[in-house]
Amino acid sequence: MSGLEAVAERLFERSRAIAAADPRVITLAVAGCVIRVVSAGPAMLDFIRPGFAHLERAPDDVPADLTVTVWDATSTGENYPNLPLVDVGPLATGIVTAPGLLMSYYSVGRAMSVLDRNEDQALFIVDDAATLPPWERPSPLRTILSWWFMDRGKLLAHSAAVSTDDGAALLVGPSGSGKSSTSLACMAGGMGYLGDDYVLIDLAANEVWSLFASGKLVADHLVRNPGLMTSDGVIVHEVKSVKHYGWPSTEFPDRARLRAPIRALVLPTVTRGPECRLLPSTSARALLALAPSTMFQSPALKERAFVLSSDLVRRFAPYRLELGEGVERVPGMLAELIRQGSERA
Amino acid sequence: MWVVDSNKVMSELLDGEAVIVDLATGRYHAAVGVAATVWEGILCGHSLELIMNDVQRAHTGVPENAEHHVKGFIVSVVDAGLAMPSTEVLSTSDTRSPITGEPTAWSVPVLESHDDLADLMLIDPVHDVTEQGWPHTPPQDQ
Repeated sequence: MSGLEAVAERLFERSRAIAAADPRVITLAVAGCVIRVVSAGPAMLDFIRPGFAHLERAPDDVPADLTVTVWDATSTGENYPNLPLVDVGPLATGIVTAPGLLMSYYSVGRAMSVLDRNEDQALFIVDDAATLPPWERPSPLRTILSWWFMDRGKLLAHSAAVSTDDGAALLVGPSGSGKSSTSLACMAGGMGYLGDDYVLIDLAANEVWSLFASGKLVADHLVRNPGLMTSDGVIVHEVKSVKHYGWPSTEFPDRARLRAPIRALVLPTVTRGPECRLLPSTSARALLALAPSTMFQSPALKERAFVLSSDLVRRFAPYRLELGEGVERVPGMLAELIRQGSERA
Repeated sequence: MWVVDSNKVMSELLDGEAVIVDLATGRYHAAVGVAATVWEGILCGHSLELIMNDVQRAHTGVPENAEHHVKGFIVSVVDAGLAMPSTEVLSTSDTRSPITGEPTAWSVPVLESHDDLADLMLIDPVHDVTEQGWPHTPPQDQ
């Protein structure tokens, strides 16, 4: 056993003991897997739970495929793990790996993610649940889930997804491209909603799964369209805009979809032109839109994320969705694209 | 010749367009048409002469000053940190770049670079550190 593995083993033992003092458990069903989250007391559970509320569908007594133990130092009164974080400055992430082990540390919120790939056990430890950055709340445990599902050939993709009875369209693009606006407008227009920022792609089954119940909208858009979702918090980005987040999958359960076959790949872009249009794009453009930001959700496994992203975009003839006037037409346009499908032969 | 560090740079050729990602910086790039042909030649370890052969084979209407433009593109690739000059012979003329299909029209090769993940990197930079670097607390302190 390496020094790092020994450190991790002791950390797992200590964390389980901390959680055992006041265990709060939720059991999630996602992508055919059972994931159990064991929180030490209510603080971290309250932080994490809304993001997964639509996935709490598995009974608590079934064996878990992955168990994640979560705790914060402040509410439990425990000392934060004494792991000197050399080489990791402010606003930085440190990554260490050993065979079967992935560990990352995020300076903001002092968030530590650990995955034992052999034992399917994970830890998420923070300094104080009350001071975690607001952007963590809509998509919690992202690093751990990305790592664990990647080992199973599933990609936690930086993508939105909307669906009809015929299947789903993935909406890929960088922040600000219109993924959230489009997916929430599609939900309001009667389509199924799987997510606006991160979804899980099962490449073997060619399916997309919902992972988080959240949605995010820039403040101006929410003011103009208050029916899209109810705000539960605000994310202030220093460089970009103010975004509100809410829980559309639980607020509109009749529109929430957990799983759908992928039929189309769409690259939204805000043009503010005279109309909304769907135009053929290229696989390279789709990969440019999907891969970079997806890769950086998976520290230490970026190369694998790139390979899976490439595999995905090769399967479809992608379309560029120009978002101009008449956004109310977009649900119909995407529904028709899904009906036709754009899979490559 | 030039050499690409495959531990740092990943790329994929899709329908004649190359997508190139620099894992260290988060910058990503596109190379379309002639630029993709040249990039694939670099990946194959081709000399400038072989790269020009690739260009002649894969494109029509190649101008007399094409080599000037190709050299300029290669400079931009090196400046972006995607490849380094090498004196080592990595390939012979038997190694063909994977550019296939009907020849396409010449266009001046350009490296299309994106750094919009710089924001993300500011918020969420990733620095791989060794086991020695972190964590390294004595066992009794855990």
